[in-house]
Amino acid sequence: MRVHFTCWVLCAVFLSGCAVLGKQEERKRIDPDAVARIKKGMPKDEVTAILGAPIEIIFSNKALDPLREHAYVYEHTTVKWTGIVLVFINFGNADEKIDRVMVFFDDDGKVSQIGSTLHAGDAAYGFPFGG
Amino acid sequence: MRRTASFLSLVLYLGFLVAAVGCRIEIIRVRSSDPLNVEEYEKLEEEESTLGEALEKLGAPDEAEYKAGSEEDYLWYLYGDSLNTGLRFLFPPFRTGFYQHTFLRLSSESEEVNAIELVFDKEGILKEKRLRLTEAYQEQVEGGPGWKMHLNPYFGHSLQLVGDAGETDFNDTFENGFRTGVSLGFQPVPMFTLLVGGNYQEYQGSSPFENGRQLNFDDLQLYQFEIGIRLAAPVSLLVTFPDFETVKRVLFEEDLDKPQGFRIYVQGTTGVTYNERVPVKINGTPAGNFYDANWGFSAGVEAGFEYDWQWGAAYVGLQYQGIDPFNEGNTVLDSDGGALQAVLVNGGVTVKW
Repeated sequence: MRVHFTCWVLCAVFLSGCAVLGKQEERKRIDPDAVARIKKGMPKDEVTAILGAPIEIIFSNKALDPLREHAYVYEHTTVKWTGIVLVFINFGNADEKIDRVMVFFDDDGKVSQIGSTLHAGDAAYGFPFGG
Repeated sequence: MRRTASFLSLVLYLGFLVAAVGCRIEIIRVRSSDPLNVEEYEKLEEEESTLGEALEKLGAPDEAEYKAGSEEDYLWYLYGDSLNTGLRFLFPPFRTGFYQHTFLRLSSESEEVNAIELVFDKEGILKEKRLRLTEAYQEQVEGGPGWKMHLNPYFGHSLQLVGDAGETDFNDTFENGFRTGVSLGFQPVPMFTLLVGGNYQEYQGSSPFENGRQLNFDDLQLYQFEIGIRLAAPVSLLVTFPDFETVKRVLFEEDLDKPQGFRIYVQGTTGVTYNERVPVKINGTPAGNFYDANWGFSAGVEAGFEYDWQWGAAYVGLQYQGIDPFNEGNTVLDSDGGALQAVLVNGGVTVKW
């Protein structure tokens, strides 16, 4: 009976060796066009009409105005998972990138500043190498 | 003799499976958010820059807090990078479709967070700024990411032939022979190289006396075409494996021009092998072909040491290769054998550009 050594090796390589790709998204995506429509001086209700309800509110907690809303936070997260099994080495890599918008309000409840980071689309599959 | 060789073959084979397949090295990295923009951070001036400028240069912070009383805004920009390196031992050693039990796992996990902290007063003017970078990220990479090509001529000599050749064992059918070839490498980072290449192998035929007959086997000539990977790391990594900063500097090094010095390497290849027909004589009379010419799958693993310069490297290692059983020829002899397995000592040079 022939011993198909190489077949066993190939089975070991390709059956135990495999690649797994996964993608996970949290919360609703943030539309860059919608972010561009947020302008300084805009009231809160207009902000929520455009971007929807924030996922987090930062309160001022001032002594005289304990519940004044200081900033709204919007966030969307994309994580791409890569698992590569090469015979005796397992590589795992998770790359999490975030879309985040933070809208600051002044004492009158109008937009005073807006900051945005829209990089969720940059999440990538890959090896765990590189800086 | 044949039983001994078969037993040795079985032990080597099982040893290979358990050691190379059941034992897994794990390198798992998790990165969250974006690397910090240090260049834009440096442009922010205390007592001058505003909250608006900071948000424009650095984007939305990962965390924000409003301090009551002092009426200060605290912004944090965070970049998380965690690394888990470990060894996992599994049984059964290869995937069979059933559960594989991890009976031992040795690992070391480190998590580092790079941070920018900005504090703004009630007028929105930058009051304080702070930066924290882990040591692994403080050295700037010269030249940045890229890749290199390798030309890699090599020569090897077999130490042991293992397996059932049919009439006799391979060790009795052929003498130890040589292997010479060349491979091209694609190196995206210093520790990892993709390989493609080919080689020629020749094992001189033996003349065993078997069952009262004098057999004369012709030479076994093989042409092999393979692809594979090579992983190389400084020998010091064996000692400093649990140290987060050192492991990161090695694994995530991007400077391909930097001489790497003395390193250990492991290499895995797989591909196809073409064997020429092997004529045989019985008592001096031609008796057909012991093996017919054919293609078969082949694979090998290799480990050794190399010394790496900026322009190239030299290395020496031990290789274990397996080649599918050869096709039976038209001889009256038993040529229904198993896979040819060989242990070779291998050396070569690498030229980079």
